Amino acid sequence: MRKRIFRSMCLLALTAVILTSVLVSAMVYARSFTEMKTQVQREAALISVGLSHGGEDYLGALQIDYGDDFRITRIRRDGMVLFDSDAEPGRMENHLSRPEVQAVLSGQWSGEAVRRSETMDTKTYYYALALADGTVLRLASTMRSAFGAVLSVAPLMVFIAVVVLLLTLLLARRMANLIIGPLNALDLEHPERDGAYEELSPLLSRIAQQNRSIGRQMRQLTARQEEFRLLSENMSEGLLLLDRNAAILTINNSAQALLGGDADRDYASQHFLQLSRDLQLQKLIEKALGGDRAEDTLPFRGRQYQVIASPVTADETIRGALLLFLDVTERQQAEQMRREFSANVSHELKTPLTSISGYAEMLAGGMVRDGDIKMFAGRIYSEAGRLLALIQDIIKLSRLDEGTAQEQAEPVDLYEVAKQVVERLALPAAERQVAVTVEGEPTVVLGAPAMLDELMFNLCDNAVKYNKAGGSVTVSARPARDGACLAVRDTGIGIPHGLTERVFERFYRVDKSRSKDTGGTGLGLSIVKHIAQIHGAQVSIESKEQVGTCIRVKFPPN
Amino acid sequence: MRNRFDMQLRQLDCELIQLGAMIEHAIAGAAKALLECDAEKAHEVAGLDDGIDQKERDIERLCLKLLLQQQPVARDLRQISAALKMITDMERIGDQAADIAEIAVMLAGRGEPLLGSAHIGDMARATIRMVSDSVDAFVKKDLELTRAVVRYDDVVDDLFDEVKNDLIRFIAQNSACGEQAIDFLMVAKYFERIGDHATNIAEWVEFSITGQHKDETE
Repeated sequence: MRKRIFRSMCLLALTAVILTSVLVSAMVYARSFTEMKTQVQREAALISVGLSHGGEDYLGALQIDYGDDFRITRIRRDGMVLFDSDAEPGRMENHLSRPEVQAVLSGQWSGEAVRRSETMDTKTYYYALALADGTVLRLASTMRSAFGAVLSVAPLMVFIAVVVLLLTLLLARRMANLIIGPLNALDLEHPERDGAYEELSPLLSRIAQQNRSIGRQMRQLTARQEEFRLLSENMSEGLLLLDRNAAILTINNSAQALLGGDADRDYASQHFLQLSRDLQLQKLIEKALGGDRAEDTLPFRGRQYQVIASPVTADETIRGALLLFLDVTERQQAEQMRREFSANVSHELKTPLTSISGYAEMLAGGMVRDGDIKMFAGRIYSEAGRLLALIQDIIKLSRLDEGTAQEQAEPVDLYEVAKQVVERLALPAAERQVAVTVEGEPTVVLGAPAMLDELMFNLCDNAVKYNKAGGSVTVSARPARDGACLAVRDTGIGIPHGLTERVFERFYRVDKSRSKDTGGTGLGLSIVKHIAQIHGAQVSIESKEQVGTCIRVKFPPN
Repeated sequence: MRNRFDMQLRQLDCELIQLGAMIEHAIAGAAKALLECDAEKAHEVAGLDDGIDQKERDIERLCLKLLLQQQPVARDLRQISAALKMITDMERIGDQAADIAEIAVMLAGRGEPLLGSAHIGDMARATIRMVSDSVDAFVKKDLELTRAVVRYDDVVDDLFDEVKNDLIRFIAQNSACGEQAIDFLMVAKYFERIGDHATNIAEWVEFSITGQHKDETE
């Protein structure tokens, strides 16, 4: 830009200088030629008057110094030169043929002519006048030609041109600085702040406007990104976003931790392999980047994760893959439990039904003696009872599982409940020669009476059932510092070390061979645990084999 | 041009990590097949070897292409030449894992109980760790880890001696089971060799980072 400004200004100045000098010289030349002509004619008139008054000698007397440029000639009518101010008249040729002389001889009062001399580069003006004595007076004045005149001033012109050029350069420089300086010094971040010249202001205000809109968009984007980051960081699920070359675009903390990445390393824009070399995971990613959704359950850090890899497509091309890691450890465990539960349920239901069906078949086939019918019917009856108890327990458990058994919470005195339950158990306890005692004081907790009754019954029933002849059961209910404590202690067979936690599992029996004798369903303690959970209570168990068991239920404060 | 070269170098890196992951998988699978008498796993590991060989050839081709087309110098040249050396060791580890798996199939087929040498399990775990660490060192360009791998080789060598002593005692007590003992000695030797290859990998990783191989520093 600076160069262009320079060039155009210099060109302008030069053209102006040349044009001006040419025009001026042409005008001056034309004018001076006219002036010369007038002067020559006036001179001629003066000389003719002088000649008529002063006679022949006048010209001789006049012969002072006419200079190179001025010449006087007197010519006879036959063309002979009588006088010449420059040369010897005798040596001069006949002047009859000269146009100016011819013009006078042909009768005109005066004649003139202009002749150029190419060699001398001059132009001569001839003026002839008829004198009274019949001779012809001719005056000549020589001038340099127009081109010559121009040439003669050329050095001056060059000088002027150089001066003008120099000035122009200086000016152009200043000008360029004036134009470009503010442009260079422009603060594009704050274009409206400093005052550049006003022609720039539309541009600057436009830039300022765009700056503002870019700033606004940047803030929006940053906010959105921050939102996404917070969202993904706080997800417990692992999230991993890859581009189509399997380089990491986004990874949240959970994914980074479960894939074993260094916590303080930034994996963004690194290849996925830098993070994990798990081959199964690589297969999933390959599938997703190939355009298919893939899913698998893989172990990471001792837990099971369901990994879902889906392709990310835009405009029908695959842009990357999204991986989601869901912790399914608990779900898998729960599924496992459910599977075991249904297997157990069918087994437990089958056992009494097989007996019933067997006895009934014998009865129907008439294979039973009349005297034994009563005994067989009794067995069928007791097995059906077991079946019913089992189904009842399963119904109870499933209700507790679903949470449909929720009852209105009301104050319940555990001590009272304990006494009632012990009363109900008096007969079976007596049969097994077990002494049951209740101790403690009125202990009121908030809860569902039916459920708490069930809990108490199951605990005491177990304590009586798994006892030895002559043993004892002590039920105690007492308010504690933080809530209430219920304890059922027996002097029974106890539970082997290491199995105490398993007794709460559904259908778990420590001694599987005893289930028939005691008539239990294997669900009692599961129900106890569920009811305790619903009441926010903690169940703990202490047991020593062949010494006894103590189960404590700690209720939270009301 | 440089951009494309950088991309190819990154690809080389990724392919090497992939090969590393494959041999890790193979050696872990071989150890599991051996220690748990899992014939199915052993067959799976034996099948991995073809993939490993193919990968080795792919990487080799890529390295040669880079050498010819890009004429790398300095660090880039080091990276590529180290890669060429590393894949040889990695491929050997893959072969030896397959060999272990083969013996595992044989042992599982005979249904003989595992020998009373606890050290073979330790050895398997130690070599898996060495291989894993050497690949890790490559991924993270971790000099400290490469040196740890080199040092750890002594542990594996010591374990090899222990296994050997165990087996000598075992043969002295039950001379009938000599064949099984020999098989186990082979397995132990394979593990020991894998440890050496892992050491080599670690040394080449160090070379690609610092430009100095062990022979020059000693």
